[in-house]
Amino acid sequence: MNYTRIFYALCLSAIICSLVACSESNPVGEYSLGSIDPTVFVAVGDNVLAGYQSGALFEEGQRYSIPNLIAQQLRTPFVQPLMPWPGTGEAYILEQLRFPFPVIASKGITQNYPVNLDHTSAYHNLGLPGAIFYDAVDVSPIDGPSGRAIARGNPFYLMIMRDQQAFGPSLLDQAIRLQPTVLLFWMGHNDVLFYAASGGTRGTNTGVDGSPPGTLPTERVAFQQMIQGAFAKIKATLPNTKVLIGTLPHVTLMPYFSTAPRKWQNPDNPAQQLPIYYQNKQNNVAIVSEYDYVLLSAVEELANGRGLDQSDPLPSTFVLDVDEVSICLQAVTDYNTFLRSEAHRNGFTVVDLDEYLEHIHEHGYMAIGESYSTEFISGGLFSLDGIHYSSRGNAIIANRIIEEMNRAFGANIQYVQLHGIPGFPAPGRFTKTR
Amino acid sequence: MKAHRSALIAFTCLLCMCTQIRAGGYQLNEHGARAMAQAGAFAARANDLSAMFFNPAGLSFQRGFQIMMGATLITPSYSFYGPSNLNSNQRWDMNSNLFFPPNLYVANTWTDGTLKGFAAGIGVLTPFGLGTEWADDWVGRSVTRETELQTFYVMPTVSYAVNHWLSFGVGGNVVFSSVRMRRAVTNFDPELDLVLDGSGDPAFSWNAGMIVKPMENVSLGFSYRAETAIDFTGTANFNPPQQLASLFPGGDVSTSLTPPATWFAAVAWSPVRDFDVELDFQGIQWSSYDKLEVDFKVNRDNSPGVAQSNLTMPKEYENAYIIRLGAEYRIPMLGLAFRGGYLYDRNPVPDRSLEPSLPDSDRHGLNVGIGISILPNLNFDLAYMHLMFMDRVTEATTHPEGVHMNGRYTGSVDLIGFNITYSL
Repeated sequence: MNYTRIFYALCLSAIICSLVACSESNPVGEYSLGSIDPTVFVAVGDNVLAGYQSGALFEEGQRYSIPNLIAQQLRTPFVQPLMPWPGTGEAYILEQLRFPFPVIASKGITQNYPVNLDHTSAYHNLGLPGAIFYDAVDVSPIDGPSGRAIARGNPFYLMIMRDQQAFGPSLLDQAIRLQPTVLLFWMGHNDVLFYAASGGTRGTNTGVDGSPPGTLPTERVAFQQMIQGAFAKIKATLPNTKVLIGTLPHVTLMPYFSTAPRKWQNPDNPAQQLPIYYQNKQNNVAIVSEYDYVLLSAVEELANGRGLDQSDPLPSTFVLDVDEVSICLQAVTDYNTFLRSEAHRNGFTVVDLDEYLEHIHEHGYMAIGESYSTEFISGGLFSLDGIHYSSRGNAIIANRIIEEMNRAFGANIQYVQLHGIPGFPAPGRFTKTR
Repeated sequence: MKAHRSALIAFTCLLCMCTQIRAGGYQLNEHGARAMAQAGAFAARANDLSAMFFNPAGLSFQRGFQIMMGATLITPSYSFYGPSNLNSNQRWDMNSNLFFPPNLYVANTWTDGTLKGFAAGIGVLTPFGLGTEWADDWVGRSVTRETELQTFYVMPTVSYAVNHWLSFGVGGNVVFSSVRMRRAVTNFDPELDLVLDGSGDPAFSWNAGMIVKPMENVSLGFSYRAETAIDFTGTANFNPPQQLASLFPGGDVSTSLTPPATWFAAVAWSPVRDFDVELDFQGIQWSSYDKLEVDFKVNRDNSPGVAQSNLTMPKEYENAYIIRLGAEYRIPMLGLAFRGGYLYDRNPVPDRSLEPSLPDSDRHGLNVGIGISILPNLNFDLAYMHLMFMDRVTEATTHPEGVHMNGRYTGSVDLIGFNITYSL
C-alpha cells in the first residue's frame, strides 16, 4: 500500500506543478491615457492628415484618416468635413492589376462639398489638402474674388476651413479656437511636393533669398520663420495642450517617384532596354541616368512611345533629375531640423515619422502575417496616387504616433488593429462602404 | 466471428471520419488506452498490442492471437490574447473541435512449435497529425484559418524473443497522408481565401526496439522510429473575385514534410506482485523541421502577370523530449487494473517561429484509467488525460519571415482513450 501512497503523492505534486504553470501573465496592460486629457483632439495638416488618398478626399478615405484613427483609440469625438463619393479631387480607381503597370482609371475632376457643412464649429480635422506650411498661419481671406480659394485654384479652403470671422482667420487660429487638449501638427509635405511632383518646374518659394519665386521648394529661411511663428503661437495660446509634431519623409520613398523605370523595355524586343530621353532645365535633351527619378505620371507617356527617341523627349515635368532630387532631399532635411529644434524649444513632442517611414522604405513592415513596403500597389502602404497613404498605411502611421503618445505621456493606448482596416481596394471595389 | 466483422466495419467508419490533433509539435502519442492511462510510460513493458507503437519488442512477450481496437477522443481548447505587438490584449478562441484518431492492431505470438518466440502483427494508427481551426474573421486570419494534417501509418511488425529476458522487434511503416491549409490574403479588399489541399505520396519508414529484463522484476526498453519524408502534391485555390482571378490563378502546388525520428529509453520496475511503475524518456528529433515551403507551379517568378508566390514558413524547431511516469495496479481476482501517470512534454517550437496554426507550449499531462476484463478473453481499457499547456508569452517573434504575431498563447486538452482487446 506504500506504493499507492507514493503514487498519489506523485499525482499531487504534478497537480501543483501544473497550477503554478498556469498562473497568468499579461504582456499588455490596461488601457490608460496617462497624462493625456483626450477631450478635444485636433489635427492641423495637409492632404496626409486629411485622409486624402488615391487622388481625392472622400468619405471612405477620411474614415481611415490618421487623426480619425487616433481619435477612435483616444475614444474621443472627432468631426471631419465628410465628402460624399467621389469626393473632391480626381479619384483614381484601379481598373486592372496588370503587370508591370496597372490600369488606373480616373473619375475625372469632381468637387463635392462636405455633407456636414452646417457643423457649428471648426472641424477637428484641419488637414487642408494642398496647404503649404504658410497656410497654417496665413490670415488672408479664403473667399471672394481675390481669396485664396480662387487665387490658388484650391477649393479645399472653403471646405475644410470655416467662416474666418466666426472661427478664426488662419488654419491654426481655427484649431486654437477649438481649445484642443491634444494637438497633432504635421505640415510641410507640400512645401517640397509641389516642386518635386512638377519635375522641378515650379515651386512654393517666395523669392526672399533672391531666387525667382515659385521655382523651388519653400526656402529654408521662410520655413524656419513660419515654424517659429506658428509654434510660438501654439505655445502662447495653448500652454497646457499636448502638442505632437510630425517630421517629414523624403519624397524619394514615395512610389510616385520610385516606381517608373529608368530604362524602358523595347516593346518590339523585350530583351532590349531603351534609354529614356527628357528635356532638362537647360532645355537640352538628356538621357535619364540612374540618379534621376522618372515620375509615375510619365509611364503613360512612355507607353505611348514618348521619350524613347531623341526627337521626342519627355517634358521636364516628368523627370526629377539628380540636381532636383538633391534640392528636395536638402529641403526636407532642413525642414526636419527646424521642426525638431523648434518643437524641443517649445516643449512639444516630436514623432520621428521621417525616420520611421525611411525604416519601412528600407526594411518593410510586418505584423500578424502581413507585410508592407513602399512599393507601388503591391506594398500596400501607399494609395493609387503614389503619394498619399492607403487606409492601412494611415493605420501604421497612426500606430507610430500612438506609440509616441504612450511613451511621452505615460499612457497605454491600444493601437489600431490593422486587420480591421480594409486592404488595398481590388479593381472595381473602391466605393465599397463598411 | 460475426462480432469481429461488425467491429471491423465500425472501425473502418472511424478511419474515414477521423482527423487529428497535435501533441508536441504535430505529434500524437496516444495509441492505446492502457498506455495512455500510464502517461505513455510503456516502452519498457509494451505488454499490449500498442507495443507496435511504443516498442515492437514487446510483442513476443505476449501470448496467442489478439486483436485490439480503439480510439482517442480529443477536445482541445486554445486561446490567443493579443496581438501584443499591436498593444492589444483581446482574447481569441480557437474553434472547438472533436478529434478521434483510431487505432487497430492484430497480432499473433507463437508460444510453441517451430515459431516459438516469434510474433507477427500489423497496426494502423496516426503518430502524426494536426488540426487547428480559428474563426474566419479572427485577427490572425492571414496566418491561418484552418490547418489539418492527417497521417496513417500501416505497420507490419515482427518480433522475436531470444529467451525470457531478451527480445527484439522491427516494423515497416507505410504512410498515407493528406494536408489542408486555409488562410486569408488580406492585402486586398475584398480579401481572398486561400485553400491548399494536398495528398501525400505513399511514404516509407521503419521502427525497431528491444526489451531486456536484467532482473526478474526490472525491464529496460529501447525503441526508435525513423523519420518519414513525405512529398505532398495538391491544388491551391484563392477563391478570388473575378477582377483578381488572373493574378491569383492558384493551380498545382507541392510541399514536403518530414515527421521526425523519435526514440524511447524506458525502465519499469515491479516492486510487488501486480504493481508496476515505469519511467520513460522520449526524444523527438524535431530539429529536422526547419521550414515549411509551399511551391506554386505558376508563380510570380516564372509567370509574368501573376501575383501569387511561393510560401515559406520558418519553423526552426528544436529537439524536444517527453518525460513519462506511470503505474499500474492490478487486482486479478476482480479482473481490474487501476492506472495513473504524469508526463512533462517539452515543446519544440522556439518563440521566434511560434504561430497559431500550431500554438505550442510546454505541457503537463495528468492521466488516470482503468482496465476491466469483461470476459476471460475480452478486455476493456479506458483512459483519461488532462493536458495543460503552460502559458506562453511571446514578445519577440521577430523572425524576418515570421508572422510577427506576439501575444499570450494558452490552452488545454482533454483526451479520452478507449480500447477493446480480444484474445484467442
